[in-house]
Amino acid sequence: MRNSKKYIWIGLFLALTICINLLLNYVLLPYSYVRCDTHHLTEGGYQDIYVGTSHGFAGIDPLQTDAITGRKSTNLCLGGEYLCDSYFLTKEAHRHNPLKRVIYVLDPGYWVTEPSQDSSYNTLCQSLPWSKVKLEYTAAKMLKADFRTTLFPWYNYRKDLLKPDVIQHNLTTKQSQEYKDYSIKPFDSTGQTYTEQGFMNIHRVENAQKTEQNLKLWNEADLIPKEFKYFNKLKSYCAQNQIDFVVVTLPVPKETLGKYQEQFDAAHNYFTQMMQAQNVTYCDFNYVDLSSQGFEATVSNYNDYDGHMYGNTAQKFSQILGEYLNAQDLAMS
Amino acid sequence: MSLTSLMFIIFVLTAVIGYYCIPKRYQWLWLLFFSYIYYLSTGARTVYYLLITTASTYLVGYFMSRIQKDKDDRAARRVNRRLLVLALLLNFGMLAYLKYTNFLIANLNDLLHAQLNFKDLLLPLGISFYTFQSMGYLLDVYWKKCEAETTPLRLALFVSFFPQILQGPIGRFSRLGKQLFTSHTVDWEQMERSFLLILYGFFKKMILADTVAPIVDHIFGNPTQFSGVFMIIGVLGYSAQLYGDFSGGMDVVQGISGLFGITLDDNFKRPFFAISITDFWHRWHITLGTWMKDYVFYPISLSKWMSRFSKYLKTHLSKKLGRTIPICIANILVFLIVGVWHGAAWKYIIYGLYNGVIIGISGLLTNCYRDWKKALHIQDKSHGWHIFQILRTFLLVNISWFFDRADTVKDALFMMKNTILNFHISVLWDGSLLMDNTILHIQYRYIIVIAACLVVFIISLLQEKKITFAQSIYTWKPAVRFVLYLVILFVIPLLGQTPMAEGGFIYAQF
Repeated sequence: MRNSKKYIWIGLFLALTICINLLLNYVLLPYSYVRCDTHHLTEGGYQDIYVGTSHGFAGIDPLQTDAITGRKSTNLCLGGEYLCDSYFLTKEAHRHNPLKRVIYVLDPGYWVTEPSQDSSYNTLCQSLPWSKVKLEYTAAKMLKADFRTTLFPWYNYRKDLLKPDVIQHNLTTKQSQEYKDYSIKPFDSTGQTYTEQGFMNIHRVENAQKTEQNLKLWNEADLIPKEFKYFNKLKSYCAQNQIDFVVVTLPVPKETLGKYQEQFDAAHNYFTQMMQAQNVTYCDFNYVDLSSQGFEATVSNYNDYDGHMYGNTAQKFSQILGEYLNAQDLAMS
Repeated sequence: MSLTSLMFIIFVLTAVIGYYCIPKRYQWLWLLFFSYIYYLSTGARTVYYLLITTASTYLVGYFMSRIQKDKDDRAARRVNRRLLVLALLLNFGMLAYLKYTNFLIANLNDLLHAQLNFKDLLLPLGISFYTFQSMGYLLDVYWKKCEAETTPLRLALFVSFFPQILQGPIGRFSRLGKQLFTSHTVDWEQMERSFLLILYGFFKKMILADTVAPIVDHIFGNPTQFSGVFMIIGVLGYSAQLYGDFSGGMDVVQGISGLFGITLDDNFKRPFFAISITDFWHRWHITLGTWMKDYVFYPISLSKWMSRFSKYLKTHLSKKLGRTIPICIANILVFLIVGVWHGAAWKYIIYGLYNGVIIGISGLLTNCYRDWKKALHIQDKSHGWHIFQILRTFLLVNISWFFDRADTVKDALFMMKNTILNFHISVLWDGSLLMDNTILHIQYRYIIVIAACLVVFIISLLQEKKITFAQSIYTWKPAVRFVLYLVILFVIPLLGQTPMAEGGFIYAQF
């Protein structure tokens, strides 16, 4: 075969690969609230952001904290958000908003586990608009990942190919005006409501069976250096841009705390010492008496033993957090 | 940098495009540069071991060739032998120290009830492969089978060539060296074949090996929980996993080399069609087998002490035994080393010995086999006998996998005993195969693994019948070929599973 013909075939092969890939992405990738979060960042006006894990996602309602702090904040915590993600989310947020404060929600379990390459792994990367931050993030996180996760984003949703109703739902959503307008309405369900400022309000379900299947326990021996690296990057970035940096650990149910007392104590000691050494403001709410402030950390107020709060519990906690942030703000000034 | 990462794909593409764009005389330097980038990105902390091996191999090879030219034959041989022994001791000593020190300490602690502390040793990536490849080169120079390389950087490329450094194949300087240092132009046909080989390799790795891996891990990890049928499922699954993983990895590695116009030695030749254990080792991890044959088996069986021993046996026992017993001993020694090479654990030593003893005894009983076949009127060329031999070998190989895969020799023996004494065939239909759904989508896994095995079996059968799939594909119309590539390309993410460990090639740990 002549070389010119070869090039045509190769070009055709690549074009077909891209087209099929885009088609499968369109059909299989669900509408994600991360897309809304990153879009809302571009609208600007936020002074505080919350970054970190799913405990923060379900545990911090910015409307409640803002009412006390008097600032405008958004919750960028996500399930499966590691420090690398938090760091780049902060950079992306600061690109559009002159941030005053970053509150990092620390879950010790995330410091000792590698991110699994599941559906949450590349959601943020897909949702970020094209920018230098996106390129940096891609280089930092996606290059080392399995090529199926990065080149074929539909890979993590491939089982949905057998579910016509899911495909139908994806297609209908993506063709709707709400999708084009970055509306959060499609995320409403009987179990939870998503709010525009990034808070996932989990509805209370009486007599629900509760598990601890996503609980990640602390073990200092398993500490992952990469988390340290990005913690320092985040801290330095905040310092360079005159952004206050606060770290908090959200309370888990006292039943979980009691069952895994040793691991939680060890994590508390480790991070308290570490933050002191780093001169970072840190509060581990597991070791603060919250009952005097009307907050009961019992599993009846949580969706699970892992530590995901019900909406009304989260709203109560958010008020406490708002007070804490105010107090810190006063102390700093 | 894992072979399955996006970074590796970009790395290879950059290396290939650059390779054909730069002036041809620099192509080998380009490969060396990329080989070291690859090694540094994967095992930067242990790169100095690679440098020591490269430097010692180059210097000893260079001086041996100089001495051969300058001195008379006898004196040169004496000095060269000393140099060779020095290099072998240094390199194999380094390998042994890094790989087996903690194994030795554990055994000494057990034996002497001592409390010796374990060493914190980091095993350099690919050390078993590059050490064997380098020492093979030195032995070839010593035996004058090849000329010593005079350019140190060229030898460095031979030792570190990036596609093969992590899991082989173990190359020979006479074949690989030439290809590495000659210039290449784009050969589209080879490019296409290489691309197909890479796709097929990922198919075997991601659809066969990674899909069956959790089932195998679960059974071998909890041997006491399962009955005999599960032991069989576990060991058959391990056969599929190991073959898919290792040969799939080899296909990827060979495919990547092919993109540079470099053909690596075959490491697999349809091993499950082998008719004896000897034949199996001519088809499985071929480059290790031939390395052992050339550098261990022949030197032992042709050594002075072995020929004296052979003479002694011929005089005191019989001519035949005088010929076969030394070969039997050499075989057992070779496979003992193969076992030790696989890892620092007793189970690997038993695995090696098991293979060695079967091959050794087969050699001793050759005449008996002939007589038995005659008595039973078995035709050597009959299909039935051929299939029986394949099944018998497959069974023997699977028994050896128990030692290779189980955590300990005790577990392996327990599983073998369980296979026979606690069979419980009813688990095949009472729903136990679903293992209480402890493994995600287990029913799909079974279906995918069986389908993938069928695909691999059909392709292997065609190859066994001398119908080379890749070559026959090239005679098809381009449109049909490209559709086939597209199908394979999309089947890999569609049906493949993500391994538990990143990268996850079994032989990359050696």
